[in-house]
Amino acid sequence: MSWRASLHERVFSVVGLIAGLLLGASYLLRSFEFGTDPGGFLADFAFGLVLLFGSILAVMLPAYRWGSEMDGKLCFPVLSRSVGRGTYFVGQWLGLAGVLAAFVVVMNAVLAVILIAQGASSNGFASLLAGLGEASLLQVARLWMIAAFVFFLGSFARGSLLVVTLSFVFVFSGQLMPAALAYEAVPPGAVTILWNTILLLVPNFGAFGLDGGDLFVVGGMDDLGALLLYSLLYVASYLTLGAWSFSKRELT
Amino acid sequence: MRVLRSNTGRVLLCGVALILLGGATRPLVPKAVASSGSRLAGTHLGPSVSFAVLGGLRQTVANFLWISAYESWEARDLEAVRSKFYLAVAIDPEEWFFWSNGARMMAYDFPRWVPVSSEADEVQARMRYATEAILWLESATAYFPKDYRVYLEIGMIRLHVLRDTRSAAAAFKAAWECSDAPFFTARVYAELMRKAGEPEIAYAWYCGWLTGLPAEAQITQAAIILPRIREIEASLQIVEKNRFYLVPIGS
Repeated sequence: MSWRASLHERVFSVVGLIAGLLLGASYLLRSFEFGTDPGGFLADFAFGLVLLFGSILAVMLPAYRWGSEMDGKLCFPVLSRSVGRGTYFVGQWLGLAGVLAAFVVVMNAVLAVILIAQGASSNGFASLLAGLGEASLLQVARLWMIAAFVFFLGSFARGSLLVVTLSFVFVFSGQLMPAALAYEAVPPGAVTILWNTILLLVPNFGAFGLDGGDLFVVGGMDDLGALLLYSLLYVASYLTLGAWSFSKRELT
Repeated sequence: MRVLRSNTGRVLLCGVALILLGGATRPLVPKAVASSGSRLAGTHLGPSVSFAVLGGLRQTVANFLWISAYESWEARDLEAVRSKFYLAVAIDPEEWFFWSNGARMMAYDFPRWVPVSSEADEVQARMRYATEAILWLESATAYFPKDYRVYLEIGMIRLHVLRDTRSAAAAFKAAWECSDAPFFTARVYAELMRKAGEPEIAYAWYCGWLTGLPAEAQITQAAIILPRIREIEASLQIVEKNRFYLVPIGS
């Protein structure tokens, strides 16, 4: 997954479209704010768009690209050179990681411009930009985890549809994880063991959730370091397991 | 290792590794985040759980629903308004505006929309919807624990709709006991106790409350409270030597 491949997939058209949607929404929905945080609704809306479209990009791009490379044997010329399978696997992920980071940065830059233009920075520009920076880090960390999982799944699977379906189930489950963890009324016994095992398999994407109001509260995004470390460990593990699995896979 | 060449073997091995990873990384996501804070808005157990998948778009969906509820409000469609209110707070339970405005509409507007044929019917409708509004506000405490605004709204409904001065006073007292409560909640409590025919309780409250305030607040509040204290002293016929005098802190 390279920049050139991303352009081929018209990724940046999608990014432009979403950024345009956000700009349009900022003017159309100006009187749509019920909360007490000025700009909070717009930030929520933007974070929602990044979550939704970012997840779609993180799942669809590698799933179909990977599928086409495997089915069309496009990886063979690269692998026949001195590039190892592990390097090829991690390199593919790095390409996508760059695209996802660019998507998040563009979206948050557009949001910053809109919020500053609307004067919604009660604690000053520096505070707003710091908040958006932290939000970007959390969004990128989350999308990189999803992308790493899709690559990990692709190292086993032999069809894009299976990868896409399982990846979206994974994303939705991870998003609901905080609620699942809070669910304590499970009867003891085998069900509990099964339930807790399932919970250990899916990372907690809900913990990366962002509230637009956090942008306007100094220190609103606590636990940032812990969440970034959490994401890093998952990305490293998915890539290590995926590269290992890919190296063992029989390519035909 | 033939088993590692098969997909099943690799899937099983990776599954075990991921379970171990899940266990090892669990402490990194602080439990405090899961139980409070806006980061996980709407992830409390209940109908809002399924909407957590929407992430930031939850607020957008909830706002659209709220506007739709306004349309139903204009048509005085009680059931539609009520269902949209409940759905909006299920989707975005951390928006105080929904809770407070929902409670006000339930308590003040709903009783006027139902047909009544007698004064008894009117009273019954008032009681029913005020009770619903108070229950609605009480369920908001799950998302706004120790928030004075909840008790303030409850107090206003008890006072203006239920016309129950004593229970309204209790709500204002509960509001004052919350963090960041404004001074007027404490003053209203005392005034309501006076109105309820309990000037002794109001007097004791005013004297104790004023004495316990920080120095700066004591000066500003004394200007409002001392004349009231004198009024109560006069009505209770408290003799001069037993009257309340504010001794400034540090003197």
